[in-house]
Amino acid sequence: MTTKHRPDRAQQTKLRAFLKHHSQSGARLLKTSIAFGTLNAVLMIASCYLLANAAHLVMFESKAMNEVSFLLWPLAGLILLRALFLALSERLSHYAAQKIKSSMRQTLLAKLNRLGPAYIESKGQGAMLNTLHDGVEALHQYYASYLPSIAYSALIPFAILIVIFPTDYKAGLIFLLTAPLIPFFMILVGHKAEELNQQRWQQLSVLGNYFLDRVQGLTQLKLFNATRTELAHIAKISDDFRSSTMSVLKVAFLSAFALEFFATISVALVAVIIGFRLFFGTLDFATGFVVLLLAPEFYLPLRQMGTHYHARLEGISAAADMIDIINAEEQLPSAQKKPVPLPINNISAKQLSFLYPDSKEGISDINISLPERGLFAFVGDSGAGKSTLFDCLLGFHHQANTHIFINDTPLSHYENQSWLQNIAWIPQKPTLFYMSVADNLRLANAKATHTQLEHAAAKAGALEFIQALPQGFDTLLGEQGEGLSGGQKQRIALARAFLKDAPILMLDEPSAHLDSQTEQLISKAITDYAKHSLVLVIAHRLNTVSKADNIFVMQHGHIIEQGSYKQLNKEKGTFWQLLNAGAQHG
Amino acid sequence: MANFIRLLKLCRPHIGMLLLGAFLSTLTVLANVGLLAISGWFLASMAAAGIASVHMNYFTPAGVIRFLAIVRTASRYGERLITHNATFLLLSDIRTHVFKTLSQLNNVDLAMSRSADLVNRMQNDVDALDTFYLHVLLPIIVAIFAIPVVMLFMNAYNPNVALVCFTALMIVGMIVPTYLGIKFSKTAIQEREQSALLRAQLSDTLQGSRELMLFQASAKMLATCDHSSKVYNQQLHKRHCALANSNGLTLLITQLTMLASVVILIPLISSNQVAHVELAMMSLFVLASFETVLNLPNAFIQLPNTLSAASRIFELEDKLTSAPVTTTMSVEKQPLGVSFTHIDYRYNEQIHALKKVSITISAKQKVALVGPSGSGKSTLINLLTGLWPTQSGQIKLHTREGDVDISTLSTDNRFDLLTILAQHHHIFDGSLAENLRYAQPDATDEMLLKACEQAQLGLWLSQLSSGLNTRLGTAGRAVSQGQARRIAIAQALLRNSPIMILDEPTESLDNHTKHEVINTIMSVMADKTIITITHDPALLDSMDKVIWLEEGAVRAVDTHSALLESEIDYVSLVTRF
Repeated sequence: MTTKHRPDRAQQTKLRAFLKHHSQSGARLLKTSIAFGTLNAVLMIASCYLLANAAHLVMFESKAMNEVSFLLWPLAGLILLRALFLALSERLSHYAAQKIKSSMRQTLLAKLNRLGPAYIESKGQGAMLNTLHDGVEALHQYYASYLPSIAYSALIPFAILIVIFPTDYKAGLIFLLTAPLIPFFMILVGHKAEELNQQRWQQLSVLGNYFLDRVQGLTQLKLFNATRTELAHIAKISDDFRSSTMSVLKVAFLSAFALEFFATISVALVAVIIGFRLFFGTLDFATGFVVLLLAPEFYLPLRQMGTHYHARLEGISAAADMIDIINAEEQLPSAQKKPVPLPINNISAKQLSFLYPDSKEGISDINISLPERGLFAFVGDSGAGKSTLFDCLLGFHHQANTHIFINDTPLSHYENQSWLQNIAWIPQKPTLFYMSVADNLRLANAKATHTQLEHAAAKAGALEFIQALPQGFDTLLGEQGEGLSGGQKQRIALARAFLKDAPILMLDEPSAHLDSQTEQLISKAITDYAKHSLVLVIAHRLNTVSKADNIFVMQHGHIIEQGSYKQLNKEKGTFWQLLNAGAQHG
Repeated sequence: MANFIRLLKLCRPHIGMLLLGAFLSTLTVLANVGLLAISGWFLASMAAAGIASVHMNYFTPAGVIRFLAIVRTASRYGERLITHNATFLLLSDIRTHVFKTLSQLNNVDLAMSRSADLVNRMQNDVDALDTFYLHVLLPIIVAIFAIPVVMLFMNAYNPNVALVCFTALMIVGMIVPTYLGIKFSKTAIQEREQSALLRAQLSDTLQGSRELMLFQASAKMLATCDHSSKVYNQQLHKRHCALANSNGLTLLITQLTMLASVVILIPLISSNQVAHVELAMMSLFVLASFETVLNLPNAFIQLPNTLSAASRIFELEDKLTSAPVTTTMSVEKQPLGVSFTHIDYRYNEQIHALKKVSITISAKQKVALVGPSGSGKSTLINLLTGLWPTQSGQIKLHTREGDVDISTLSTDNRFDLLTILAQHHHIFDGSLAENLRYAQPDATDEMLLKACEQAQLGLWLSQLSSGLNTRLGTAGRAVSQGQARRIAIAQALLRNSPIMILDEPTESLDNHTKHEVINTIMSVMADKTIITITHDPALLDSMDKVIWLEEGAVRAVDTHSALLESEIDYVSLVTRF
């Protein structure tokens, strides 16, 4: 959607190397495909010989049909083989591209998984998704068409030269002398043409983006009563783009014009020289005809390279996004870590600080100590550092692990996985995966029986509506649980957390105003859970806060107040202000 | 077919340009075919003359070859320029046409507010129509004109060769591609589904990466994605294989046709019924004649796709003609009151969004709507704006001259009287000034600066080196949620309408900014009627009355402080941390 910046020449070289490096999974197929393609060209040369000789015999030796049939039958055979080889070669190159794409996607996804959620969020989920989906698909034509076309542009003219020279070295010399002129010419005008061509694609995408942007904001335009003026705008901008693009194209096409003119002249030159040699009898017709038939084929691969220009550019642009991911630094898990010993009696953070790179936001100097059970609430404005603190406690920020202690041993000494096993966590907007309700729940406990699922769902107040769904627990949940209300999604997430039955429950309470039934349900569920386990809540609701054993008030990355609801209310500090914000204004 | 004709009608304004492009294309193709055929004849004749040692006028054919070479290259250049120009002209027409249609539809027909999917599909559809001329129409016109000319010449030499060649042209240019086109339009549905599945799974993996780590399910999810990716690629591979096969088939037919023409001609040459030089010419002529259908396969493959894109767009257009014509009553700008009477609204059988709601708001009154999500606040607002048509009940404006049913007003008039600060605010790709001027096209720079100042954007604006000309949106500077909200507020301030509807105006603003914004709203909009959706106690406190909705019905109407004292549920509803 966004107008992508096209990489410059130095970057392109780097990106091409990157694309080559990642083509291993399909490299052999691609080579086989090119071999078949080249074989096709060799057969093409042979069939030209057969045709020219047959024509010669009929035309100048007065041979009858049965006397040339020994040439025509093999010609028919060659044609059949060529058709087979062409189809095979194309199938193989597509198959190679398909394999490379699959493996590239796998590599990227695995790498992103190792880099962790923080990296994905810093780059933007939407952008990452586009790279993984459309970006990888954009590589197809690069591998399937552009790369073979490069090989052919070298191999096919070479094969033709090898055959032509022994037959007629003079014609061979004409080819040899004119052939380098095309690449030379392409470089000469190509530089400029490439630049112009890039502009052309860019302009088109700018125009497309402008239009779509306005369609996306259509409701807004309606509300502003501005659709009519915008209509005139779109017409004007399209027209402006047309005239500016056309002036670019006038020049861009000029180079194509020159190239084509050159190829035509070369073929004409060959034809004229052969014509006169035929006229003066220094060449027999069969050879002359072969050269005439091969002349356009000789220049064709060179000219075709230009038609795959767009495929090349698309592939390279897509690679630019991928190389960033592949080259991102990842933290290697150090060996010999222990599993977290049970039971967990105490969790604490000592002088815990974490700042996001490229920004001053984060948390600093956090000191808290949490016992094995109870309800603990964290409150504060958005951006105060609550989510960052939770991420640190979950071990998502490796750098912070030395400042978090489980039973007085730093978290960095333990296996990350064994720590996460002890935590059930519900984010602000839980992800409901594109799978059945049952599978979504079983993420928390793969071995859970159906009775266990029902039990957990009942505890979360979700059983009733799950059973009312068309296929009950087997109902496939659409993208982000489409069709379910916000409250229902929360209840499924709650059921999932219950199913895990972990000693620690961490919850980012939904800040949206859910229906009161769900709100009460969540409230009751967490207070129940806190009786036997540790519950940490980023709280948004009065009800939750008032029931907490301890409240931590956060501001600008620090914990500025802590204590029970009564205590904090008495102190009339920041918490009290937050609580009475409504009455304060005036 | 009906859609094809409708598409052609869209092209009518530029018919001259389109036909000129088609003429030049045809000329290029014919010159190319002629060039090859004459070259073959020329070589054979030269050789024949050489062997017979007779003089030959080689100036004329050489001149013709030169002429055709120049015609070919020049008309190719002209063709490219003209056809691209025509494409752009058409593209501009189609876009304005589509935009006009979209802008006149109401949002329920568009379902715009519900799915971003429509916008994506719209992109694909408009893209498909963009290349209608270049990729579909042009090759068809070229074939229609060039094939008869080529056949006429070929027929003059030998009718049998012409017949074989014509049959082959039809197979290669029409029959095979039409078959592929129909086949692909079927598999396209599976491809789209598989692509959507893969996208959903990838999206889940990225979005739920924390949860997957926590549940130790990352590896399993990666395997699922990998599987889908492979299945999707296998789907695509079917298409690529079919294309590769058809390319092989085309080569086979082209070459065999040439061989057939040679086989037909050899006995005729042996019996001297045909001049021997014609063998070389005809074999090249037959090969070259396939140039007339060079781009036709692609055209027929794309045709079903283009037509289905067109049918979707025409479908929207047809909804437009069936939309009821609103009678035009005009209300001048003046302080206005609003009343909702017995408003009932259902999304479907199950979801009953509003249940006979009646609310009266007098002119210049400041009113808040509160309630949990799904209580019907947004539905009420959408009905007031007319973006959604009412199902039952009445919405009236109280004017000096008496009550006016809002459905009798023209949309223009209605949106002159209403300003809506929507929750999903779109920042357009363009400068800050352009964004602000959407709200008030005649605003001077001073007015824009003042509105920014009032919306607490002053500090941010002073830090921007290009000031009001700073580019925002997809290709420009990213704005935070808080900044976007304040830009929306500046836009609302610029509009001078009697009724202001503010949906969560203080959301994502920090405390200080929030208070300043509330003060601005209360002072600048003192003589406006304000309806706001909010749960912000500070804003609620400045309102004249609070309307508390629950499950599509009014639960209570009172002032904020009175509700705080009397209703415990209300306290927990509006107290958020």
